[in-house]
Amino acid sequence: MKTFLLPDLGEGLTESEVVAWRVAEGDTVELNQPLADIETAKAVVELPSPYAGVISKLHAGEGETVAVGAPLIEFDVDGTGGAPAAPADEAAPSPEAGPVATPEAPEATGEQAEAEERSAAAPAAEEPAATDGAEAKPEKVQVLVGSITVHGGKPVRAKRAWEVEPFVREEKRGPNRAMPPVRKLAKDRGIDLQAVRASGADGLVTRADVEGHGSAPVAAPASTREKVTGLRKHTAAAMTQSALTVPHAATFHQVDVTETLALAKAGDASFLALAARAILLAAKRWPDVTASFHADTNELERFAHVNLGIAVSTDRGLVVASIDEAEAMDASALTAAIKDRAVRAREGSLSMAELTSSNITISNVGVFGVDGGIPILNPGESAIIALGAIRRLPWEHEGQVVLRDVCTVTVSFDHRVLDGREAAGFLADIAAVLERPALALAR
Amino acid sequence: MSLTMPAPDPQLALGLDHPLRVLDLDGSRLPSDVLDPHLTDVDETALTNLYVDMVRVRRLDTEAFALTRQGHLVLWPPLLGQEAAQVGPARALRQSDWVFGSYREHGFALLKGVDLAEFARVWKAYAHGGWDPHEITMAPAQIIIGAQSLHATGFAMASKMDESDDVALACFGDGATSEGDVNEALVWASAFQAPVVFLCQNNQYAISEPVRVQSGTPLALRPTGFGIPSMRVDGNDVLAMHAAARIAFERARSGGGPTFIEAVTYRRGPHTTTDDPKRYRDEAEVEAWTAKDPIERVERALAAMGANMDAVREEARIRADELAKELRHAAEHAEPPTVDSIFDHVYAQPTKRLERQRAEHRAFTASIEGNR
Repeated sequence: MKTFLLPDLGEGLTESEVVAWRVAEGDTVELNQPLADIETAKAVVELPSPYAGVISKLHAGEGETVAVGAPLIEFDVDGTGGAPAAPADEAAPSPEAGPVATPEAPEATGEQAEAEERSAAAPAAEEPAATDGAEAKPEKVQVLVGSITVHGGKPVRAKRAWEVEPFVREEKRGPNRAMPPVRKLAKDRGIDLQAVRASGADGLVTRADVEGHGSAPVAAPASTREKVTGLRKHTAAAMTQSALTVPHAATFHQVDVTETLALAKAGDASFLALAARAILLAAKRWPDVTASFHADTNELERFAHVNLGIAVSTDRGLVVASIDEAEAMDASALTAAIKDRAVRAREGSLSMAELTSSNITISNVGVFGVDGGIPILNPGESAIIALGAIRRLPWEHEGQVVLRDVCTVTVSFDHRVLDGREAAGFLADIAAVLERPALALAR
Repeated sequence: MSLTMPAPDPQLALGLDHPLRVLDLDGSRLPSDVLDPHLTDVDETALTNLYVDMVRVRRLDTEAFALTRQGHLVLWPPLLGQEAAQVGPARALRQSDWVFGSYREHGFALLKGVDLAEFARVWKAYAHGGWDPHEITMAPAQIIIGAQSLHATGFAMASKMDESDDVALACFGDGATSEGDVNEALVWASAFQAPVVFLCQNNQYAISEPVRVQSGTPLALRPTGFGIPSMRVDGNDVLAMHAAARIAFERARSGGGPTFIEAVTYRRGPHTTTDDPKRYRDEAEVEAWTAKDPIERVERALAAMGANMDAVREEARIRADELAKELRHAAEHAEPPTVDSIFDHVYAQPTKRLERQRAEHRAFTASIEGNR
C-alpha cells in the first residue's frame, strides 16, 4: 500500500484543486499513466501516476482543493489488496488530510507577486473605496501565468521577509587603520596602532592621534553605545509590540500568604508552585484569562489547556518558558517543572515550542525585592500575574494586629478580552486560595 | 584609407527563404548542395543511431517531466519537439569540444555522458551545478538568458590562443538573441575569429512571447551584420542539423571563425512545469508542429531505406526504458546536500575568511535545538 501525497506542482504553491479524475477507485494503472487534471494557481496540469498498481482510494472529489503534502491517492502496489495501515474514517476527514476550504487570501509566490505588481497598474480604483457598507471580498483574477488574488483593487500578497523583519546591518568595528605615513610614524615611535584612540572617520588613526598618544590621559567617553542583539533585541521587539497594540490594564491585591508560606516550608512544593496552583484553580473559574485575541480577524481563541509561562531572567535576557497543560499537575510536579524550566532557560536549551506555547504567564518579581509593578503582557496572551516580595507586615488577623507574611499580587490584562470585573474576580480567587490554601480542596 | 565599409552580405546566410532540409516530412531524402557533401558517410546504421539517441532524449524528457509532477523533481524545462536540433549537433561534436548550454540542453547533457544521479540533483534543487563540467566538457546549465554565449566565446578565444583545435558550442533560444550578452558574444567572436558555433534553437517562444514580436527578420540574418556566416536549418530534421553542425565545427576547427545556426523548431511542451502554454498559443499550432515530429520523420526515412523498424523500435524502447528507470531511481534516491556544503564551491581553495564563516555557521547550527 502506498500513499501519494500531493506535491508542489508549481514553485512554492500551498494547494491545488482536483479538476477531474481520469481514474476511479479499483482501476489498475501503469507508471506515468495520467490520473487527474489538477489546477494550481499557475496552470491546469496532468498528474502522471507515480506507481503501477491498483487505485484503492481517492482522497478528494472533483472540485475539491487539497493542501500540498496531504494524501491524494492510495495505491495497492503489491497486488495484495490489503487495507491501508490506518483505515481512514470516511465520515470525518481529519483536518490535516482532508480537503481544505478555499482560503480568502492565498499566499502569493514570487512570480505571482510580480504579476500582481503589473496588475496593480491596471486602471482599477486606486483605493478600496468603502462600498455602501458591503465589504468588498477578495477575488481571484486570471493573469498570464496563473491567477492572483485582488482585494479592494489591490493585489494581495504575502509579506516579504524584509517587511516581517527589517534587515539591520550589524556593523563590527574592525582593527584601527591608518594611512601608510601614519603607520610609519607609529612604528618609528614604537606605538601600537591598536592602542591609539582613533579620531578619524570610520576609526581611522590620524597623525595627530599618534602624536598625542600617551601625552594626555584619554577621558572616558560621556556615553557608549552597544548594538542590541539576540534575546535582548527579541524582548525589545516583543514588548514594544505588546505595549503598543494591547490596551493594558492592571489590578493589585495585597494578600496574607502566611498559611501558604507555611505550607511551602513544610512540604516539598515551592511557594511559587503553590501560587501557580492558586492561579490555575482561578483560571479554571475564569477561562478567558488564557484566551488570545486576534485583532486581524477579530477572533478570540480559547485553549483547551493552561500552558503556564514562567518568566525567567537569564544572562542573555528575559524568556518565558511554558509548562504545558499545567492544570493537570500537582504542586510537587509544578515545583519540579518550574525548576527544570529555570535551569534550562539559563542554559539556553529550551525548545522553540517551550518558548512560545504559553497562554498565561507568571512573573516572580518578588525575587528582586519589589512589591510589584505593571508587567507588560507576553504577546498573544491576555493575562500576566506578578508576585511581589513577601514581607512581614503588621496585619489585621483574627481581630488583632499581628505580623503576617504579606505579598502583593498584580494582574495585568488585555482589556479587549477581560474587563475589570473578570480580572478582579480572577485576582480575588487567587488571593482567596493563597490566604486559605484549604480552599483549594473546595475548588 | 577608405572610410567605406562593406555592407552585410546576404549571401552569408543560407536557407533564409526555406530552411535547409534533407529529410522531407514523409521521410524521403531531398537533395541539398550545401549539406549533402557532409552526409556521405551517414548510412542506415548511423541514422539508426541518431534515431535511438532521439528516442532516449525524448524519454529522458518525458520521464523527468512526470517525476516533477510526482514531486521527485522540483522543476523541469521540457524539450519535447527539439530532439533533432540537439541530437544532430551533439553527434557532430568531438568529446573534447565544449558545450555551453541554456537550461533546456538535456539532449546535449545526455549525449555528453552526464551521470544521471548528478543530473537529477540539479533539477531536484539539490545542487547548483550538478555535474563536473571538465569531466563531460559541458558547462553547467545556465539560467541567465544568453550568458553562456559569452562563456563559449571566451572558451573559444582561449582555445585559439592555446592553438588547440577544440571548439565551443553555444546553445541558446530565440529569446536570447534579444539579449545584450548574445550580441556581445557575436561581436567578440567575429572580431577574434574565435572557434565558436552559435546554435540558436528557435522554438518560436520566449516563454510566452512569440518570435515574430522579437524580430522582424529571420534570426539567421542577424549574425550577418556581425560578419558571421549563418545557416537557417530545419531544426526537426536531424540529418540537416547534423550536417550543418559538421560544416560549422569544421570551419571553426580550421581557423574559419564562428558560425551561427538557426534551428527552426518548436517547443511542444510548456516553458517549464510551472507554465501554462494554453494561455498564449493555439492548440492547432501545436498540432501542426506535432505533424512535423522529428522522430517519426526518421522512422519513415529508415523504413524507406528498408530497415527492420520493429527491431529498431524495440531496441530504442529497451534503451529508453533503462534510461527512464535509472533516472527515476536517481531522482527518488537523491540525498539532499548538507547546509555546510554551501561553502564547498565558492573557491577552488578555501580561504581563511571562508573557513571562518564555515566555523561560525557550524557553531550557529549547533546552537539550534535538535542539532546539538
